[in-house]
Amino acid sequence: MNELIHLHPLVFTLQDVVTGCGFLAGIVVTGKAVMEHEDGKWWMYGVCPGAIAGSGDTPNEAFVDFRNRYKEALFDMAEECAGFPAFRDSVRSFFDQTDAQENARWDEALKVLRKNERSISEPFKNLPRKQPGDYEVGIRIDRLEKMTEAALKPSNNIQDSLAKAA
Amino acid sequence: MSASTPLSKVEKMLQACAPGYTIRLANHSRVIHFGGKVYRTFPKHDPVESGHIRKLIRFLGIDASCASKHLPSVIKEEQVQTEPATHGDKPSLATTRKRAAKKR
Repeated sequence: MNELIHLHPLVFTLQDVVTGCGFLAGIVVTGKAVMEHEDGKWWMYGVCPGAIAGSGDTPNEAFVDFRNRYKEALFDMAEECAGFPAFRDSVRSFFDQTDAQENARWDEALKVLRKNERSISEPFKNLPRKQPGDYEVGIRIDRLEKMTEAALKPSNNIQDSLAKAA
Repeated sequence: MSASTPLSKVEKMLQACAPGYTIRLANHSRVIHFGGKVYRTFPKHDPVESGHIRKLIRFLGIDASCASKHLPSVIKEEQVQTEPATHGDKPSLATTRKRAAKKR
């Protein structure tokens, strides 16, 4: 493992479709997370949303676990069956609760990374890089079954992605 | 599997260090409320991997010194810092954590 960069600042985008009680929701999130090797495993810790962590034997496994836990959180919120507005508010609140300490770690990790560009190890070396202007952290929650036919189009589809901040 | 801790020990730490917390079981995870914050993704399985516990403590802003007394194998005081290092001459947050890892 790399001596200098052991905390990796990441940016991710995920798209989900969740069925609730009487509604169909489309959620697209662009968030921030850090990844590090602890206790013999890779851990991905959420910055925004902040209340989430995933682990695995490889960085990719940690991302997949993180992604699945995020999806499960959406499912749990949908299962509360309080209607679409309550679901939307829960999801937005989940996203808005940033982890302040993790955010400080993300900022610090980015500073270290920028000073040690040549020390980035695999597999992070090969991840796409995103400059601050390349992404906008946020969450979008649509009620899909209420959208017009014209608004439902294949160009809305977004692949899961993981990038390192630059 | 990485280091893990019985849920009962986590709950004892929460009782001591996060007074007034509540915990409930959802279909996929445990949902923990404390200090106006909600942690929705705490694992259902028991024991719980240390990374999830460390994340919970950081997110909810639980006092690290209190948590480390109850869960010394999971969290060391220096692992949870509220302020990042900002001066190049001083140890960064990353290096502080690296040193903590080396002590383990």
